[in-house]
Amino acid sequence: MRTVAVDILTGFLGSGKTTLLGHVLAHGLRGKPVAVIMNEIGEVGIDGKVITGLANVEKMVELSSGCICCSIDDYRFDLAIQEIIETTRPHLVIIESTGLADPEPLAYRVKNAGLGLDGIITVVDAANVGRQLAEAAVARAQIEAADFLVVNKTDLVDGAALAAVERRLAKLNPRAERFPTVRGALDSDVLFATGVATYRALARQPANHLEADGIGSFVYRSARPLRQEAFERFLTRLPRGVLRAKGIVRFAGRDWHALFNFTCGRHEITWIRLDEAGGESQAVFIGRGLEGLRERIEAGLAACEVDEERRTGHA
Amino acid sequence: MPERRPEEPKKEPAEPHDDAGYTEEEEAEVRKRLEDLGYVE
Repeated sequence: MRTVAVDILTGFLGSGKTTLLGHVLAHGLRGKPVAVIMNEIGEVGIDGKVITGLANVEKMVELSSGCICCSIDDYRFDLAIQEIIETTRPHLVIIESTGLADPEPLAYRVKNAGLGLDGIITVVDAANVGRQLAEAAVARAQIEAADFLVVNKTDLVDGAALAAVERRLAKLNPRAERFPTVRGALDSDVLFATGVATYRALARQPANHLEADGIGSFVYRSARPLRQEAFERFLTRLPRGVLRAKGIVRFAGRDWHALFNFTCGRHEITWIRLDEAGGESQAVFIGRGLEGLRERIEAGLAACEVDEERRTGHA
Repeated sequence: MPERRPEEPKKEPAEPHDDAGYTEEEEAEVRKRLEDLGYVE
């Protein structure tokens, strides 16, 4: 189960979550098998009818009997997750929450279900976010929990108002990366877990080549094991320009490989045993202005490496 | 300023139960997943 990634898509009522999801499923995700869990309160799931039938969607499950963050119990949540994974074997599950859901409890549910939480994407209505923040505490919680903030409906506000929204969002959540958009038409590969492979391919191209969204990448490889404590400290100190980092690493003194996932300042490590994985550690770093950060990041990684000859006393 | 979400326990994680003891076919599928999700290439 830990090799199934979960992205949580949240945002206040009317912010454009389903519009963004529809666009991404129609234009992105590179044909990877994706399943969608859509949480709508009410008997008729209108949004679900929009999503069902899109080419990349292997399975769409609607949870319509309550809010996914509070009133749907763990048993039904786990049941929905199990059904979706067993029937379609997706590589990515996207959970679209209700507009009134707090993503933090949902994130814990995902982790407790044994799934890898890839990221939290919050869609913000640029024209109405000020009013929503004044009226509903959950609007703030959604923004504060985000790894990525999709600032939608920017065509409905002027430049000064948009700048004010950006400042407010940056104050509420300085960790999140913000993407302005109109009608959810956002094509960045950085948002969802399956886009990371695109940046790995990009890293093989000539230096400083960037994706269309101005985001670059590079790959790290090492045959040496890493010191776990030093590596985790290294992850907490990655510069702001690094939006994602992901890989499989071998820690000194451990038989299991570690899968790590860093998204906008937050990281998780899970464990996996692969006979054929070999001893090599490899990771991809994705972000803005990476050409100026790469040397520093690589030096940080080198400092985590264990000299095996010295460690085993054969120097 | 929002607090970062608490990290998962790291020091001595419980031994994983799934993803262990793969058959060749299962391991091939896991590797394909890891490639698709960008962990390896």
